[in-house]
Amino acid sequence: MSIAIQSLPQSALNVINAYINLKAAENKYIRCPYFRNPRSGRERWGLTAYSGKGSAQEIETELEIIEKLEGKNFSEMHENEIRDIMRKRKLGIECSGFVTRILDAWTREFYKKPIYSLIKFNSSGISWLFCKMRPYTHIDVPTLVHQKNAYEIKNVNDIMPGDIVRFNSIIDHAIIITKIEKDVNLNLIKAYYAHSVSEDNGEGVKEGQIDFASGKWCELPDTGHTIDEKGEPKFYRLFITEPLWQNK
Amino acid sequence: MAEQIVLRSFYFFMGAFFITVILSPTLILLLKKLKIVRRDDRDFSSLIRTRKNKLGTPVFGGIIIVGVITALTTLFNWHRETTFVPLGVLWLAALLGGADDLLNIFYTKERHPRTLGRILRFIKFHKNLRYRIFYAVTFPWQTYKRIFYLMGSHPGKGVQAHEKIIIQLVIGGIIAWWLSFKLDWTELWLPWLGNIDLGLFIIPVILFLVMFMANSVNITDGIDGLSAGTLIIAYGAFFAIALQQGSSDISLLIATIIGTLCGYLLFNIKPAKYQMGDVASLGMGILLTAIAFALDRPILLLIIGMIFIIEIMSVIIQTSWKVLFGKRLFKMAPIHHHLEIINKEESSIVMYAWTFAALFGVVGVWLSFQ
Repeated sequence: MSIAIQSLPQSALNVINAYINLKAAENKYIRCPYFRNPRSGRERWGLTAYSGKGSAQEIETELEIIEKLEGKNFSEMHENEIRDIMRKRKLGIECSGFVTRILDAWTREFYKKPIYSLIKFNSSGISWLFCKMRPYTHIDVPTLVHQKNAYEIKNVNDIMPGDIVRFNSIIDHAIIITKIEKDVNLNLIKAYYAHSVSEDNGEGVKEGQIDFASGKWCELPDTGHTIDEKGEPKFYRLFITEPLWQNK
Repeated sequence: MAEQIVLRSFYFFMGAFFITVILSPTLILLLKKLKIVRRDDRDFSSLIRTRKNKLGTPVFGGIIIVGVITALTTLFNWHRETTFVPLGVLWLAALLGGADDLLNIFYTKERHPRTLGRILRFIKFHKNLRYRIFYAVTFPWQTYKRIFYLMGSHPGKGVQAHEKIIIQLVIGGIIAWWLSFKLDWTELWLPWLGNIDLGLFIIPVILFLVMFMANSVNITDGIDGLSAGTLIIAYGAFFAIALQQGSSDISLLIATIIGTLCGYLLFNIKPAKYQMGDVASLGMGILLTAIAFALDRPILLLIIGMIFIIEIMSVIIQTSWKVLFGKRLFKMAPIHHHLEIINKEESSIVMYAWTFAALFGVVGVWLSFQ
């Protein structure tokens, strides 16, 4: 039986909700699909929304334009059809972009600053300049978990909401812990998470949970995949999130 | 002399005005019948709530402007050394703009460029040798095309940005040839400083101004009455300069342009009965530049055409902003659409533009006297 439940602040949870319920049209809400930030090309140097790093509002704005470009009426279309169009148009969110936007809402609430002004970019020269000009595009998983910005948590019982789980085997992937449940001995029972994931089926923004008692991972929507397929997880805490829990 | 020019200009103005007014209703009916109308599937601006009622409005209306200017100038103001080339480039621009207008409406296929990596793979591995040679030979063209695409050019149905630039360069080249080689004219006039001989460096200046102004006027043609009104004011300013210089042929040409634009504007004031389209907007910009060069006052385009320059700069800044910062600076470019989105009345935007165009026009004429 759990006695301690902690979760991300409401502002951060609202961001997750905004990606899960993207407004495509009046009374039509869809789950944001996955789009991986390309290393080069038009998308990399275009709008943030088209580089897999856009905010939910930016993606919604682009959706409105895409609806016009495609000559479609999204309010009469099935969610999967709209998501297919978004994928074709390369509109979506990638894992680190999703995590960044959630943490960004948190830092804006507590520090009154965006995340990119609080974390350190591991770059110099011209690439440092690009990082400053297009900060969201340049925050990726290695940046978030870099030793300048985060440290590894060895004991899973220390995990808190806002911590990042990194899978660096098949593909570099990050998820964010949104809520935890602990028992009387302060042992972790369950951790809830959210992420934007690339899959052959049902990819996009998803929520899931890890049951530490049974070691099982499950996700919603259930697409027959779980995140543990990605490899061995490593847990990280950003330095910027630590004071937020100490203040609580 | 000036009185005679004014009197003859009056006849040209009235002639152009009445021909345009008389022919416009028939043209509007014809355009509607041929379904050459504004459609929502390619019109980004119809995302703006207040612009939805513009769908179905005939476009291509500028053909009447081109037609009236051509007819009157060919019949009554044809001079090989002065009006021949401006008229010729107007027609070239009309062909380019007209093709763009019609392709946008009737051509249904989008032309997406291939990535350079893919083309390189074709060159290396395509099973057909002829295709390999074809891709190798056309690789520089594909690279050129791809650069435009990376800069944000949308692979639309009409004439694409990289193609337009080539054709505009050709038109600019014709004007440059006319001025530099036929008229032996290589000087650039500057207020207070007088003429500065640029030699052959005048050619890139001509090319730049032709392309810049053509696209500026083209972009300004976005809301009812905006481009026609500001063009009338800009041409009006150059008419004053032509009168001051006693240039009869150019004065008559400008009077014809203003006359037909006034006639067109009667039907283009909100709610527009028809719209100019690229068929005339590109040509109007190029013609304005040709006239500015013919009057030895190209530098004044930057003052007299300030509204057009503000419009194109808003597009350039918006594109740069997207590349540099990954977001939009304006809600939509050009700036008149941004103003519409932030709930400025369409008619107010046009009125402000006309007022400032008049102000800049007067300043331009004043500078011309310096």
